[in-house]
Amino acid sequence: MNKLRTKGAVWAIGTAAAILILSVLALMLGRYQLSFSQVMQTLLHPGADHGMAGNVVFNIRLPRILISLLAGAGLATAGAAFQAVFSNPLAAPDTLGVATGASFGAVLGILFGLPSLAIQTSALVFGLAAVGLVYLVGHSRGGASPVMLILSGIVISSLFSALVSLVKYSADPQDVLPAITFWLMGSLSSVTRETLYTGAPFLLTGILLIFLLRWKLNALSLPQEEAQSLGVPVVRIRTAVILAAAMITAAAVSMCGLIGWVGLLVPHIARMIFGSNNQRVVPASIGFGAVFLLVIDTAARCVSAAEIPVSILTAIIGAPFFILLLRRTGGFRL
Amino acid sequence: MKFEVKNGSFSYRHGQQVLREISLQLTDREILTVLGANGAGKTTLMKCMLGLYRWSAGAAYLDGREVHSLRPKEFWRQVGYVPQAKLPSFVYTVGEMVVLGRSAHLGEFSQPGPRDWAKVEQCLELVGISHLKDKLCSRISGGEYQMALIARALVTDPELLVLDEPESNLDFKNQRIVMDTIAWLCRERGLAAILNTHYPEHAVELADKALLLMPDGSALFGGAAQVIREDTLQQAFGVPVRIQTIHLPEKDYTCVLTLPFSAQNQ
Repeated sequence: MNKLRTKGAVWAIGTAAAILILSVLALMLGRYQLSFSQVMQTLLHPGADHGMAGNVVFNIRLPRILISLLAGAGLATAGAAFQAVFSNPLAAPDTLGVATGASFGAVLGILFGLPSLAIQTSALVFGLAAVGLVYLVGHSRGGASPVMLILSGIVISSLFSALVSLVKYSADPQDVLPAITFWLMGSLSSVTRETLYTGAPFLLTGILLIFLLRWKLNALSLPQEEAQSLGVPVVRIRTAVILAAAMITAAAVSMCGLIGWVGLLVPHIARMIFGSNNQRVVPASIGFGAVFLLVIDTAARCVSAAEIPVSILTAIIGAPFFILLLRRTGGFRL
Repeated sequence: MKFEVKNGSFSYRHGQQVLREISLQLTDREILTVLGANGAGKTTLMKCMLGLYRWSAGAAYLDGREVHSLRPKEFWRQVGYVPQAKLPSFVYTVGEMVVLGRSAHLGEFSQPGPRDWAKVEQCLELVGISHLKDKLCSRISGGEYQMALIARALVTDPELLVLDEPESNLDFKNQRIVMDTIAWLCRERGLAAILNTHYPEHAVELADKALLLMPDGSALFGGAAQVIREDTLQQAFGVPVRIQTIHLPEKDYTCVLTLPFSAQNQ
């Protein structure tokens, strides 16, 4: 017990330090390079006039860094939550069709030129509709079997991506279509302070709720009747967790487009280090997810002159890593 | 503690009746074994008794109060359930698995504290697997996992223990350990226990009471010796049965034998 606690503390401090250092680094890097002292000057005296540096830090890089931290933490937490609730190691915002559903909602909003809060709401509604459908299709008496759930996730996901294609087909090829296409590949380039203000509350609420319910996730990952017999109000807590995870996904999707892999990869890394106990997996996912997306996004905007969509990078890093994980663990016990 | 079922019946939605007018009573220190052929409805009966399925007629009562009228947390503090041992998709350590049994005592947002962990230690000690606390559930034997699940049911401080085929898939020695533990818990700790089993011998040896499910969904309930007889078993399982008593110096043991089908015709 104590050994585990020490290990957890060491990792927590390490992750927090990594987030701080990497954030400062990310503030310095980019097309308009800033020195360490410039960044520090600007951050420590936000009232003073710093000219170009102030604009870059406060209006462009800081919101973007905060969103990447929050979205990374959120997507990883949502992944850990979905995996526990559906007792399925392969469940994630992307595999369950939530992300595709939410992106349809958001694309629809973009098509009609809605304001960003309305886009987020529409993303949330369709994201939830997607989980609901997946659950209905994959559910049978005695619960949803992992294989059925993943299969129905594929079906629902492809249904929504067809609808997304329909929207793209009917969108104006001059301006709306490129916006949609680029956004769908996942990008934080359009993030502004306003996106931060509208999206962050959803992300924070969802993360906090799952964090508070983290021990109950262990019980939820057992067969439903077994969890009920432990005295856990299964239906109520499962609904709360699914809502929170879908809310996170929808908020993340509506702010930065489809970002794959984070929700699948990060919780598994957390499990490799800490074991399956969600009391540790959830906090670890929050920390690692934040670091992961921050690094990816900074790389996305610094590696080449033109921005690389985030999803491409997460997949390039994610796919080999996941193959390695599968080989090492000998596949998951499904 | 007093547990009762009065005229409980259960049918599936498409009409097939599985359980017919079942009644039983059980109090402290008593063990009730439920016997029946595969598919006769043993597990269904258990789930109905626990309020996990709804009776289509009749009801179960805990201390005179209908099970469905109790708040779930209230019910599950008094009743510990040991399901058929099956590893979950995510592998927890024995300690993490057992502490989940404290859920009924904790609020939605709370985490298990030192008091809960002390209870876990105590119950692991009780069933004799303290040394396995930090082992993964997938790395211990089936018998040890079964004991962990029993410990999980015990950390809630139940008055009634309900076990679904606790000794299935176990070897002789582990069956013995599980049966002895249940008998000891009821004798020394004053618990009552209900268990499904495939072994009539275990029922005769352990149980004060027995319930034998018949192919038509009705049941025979009574003292173990009255219920478990050659003719009733033959009727319930559809196979020729002989019951013999073996006299050993310290005690008499009952042995239940099935005979080849060909023996029936002679």
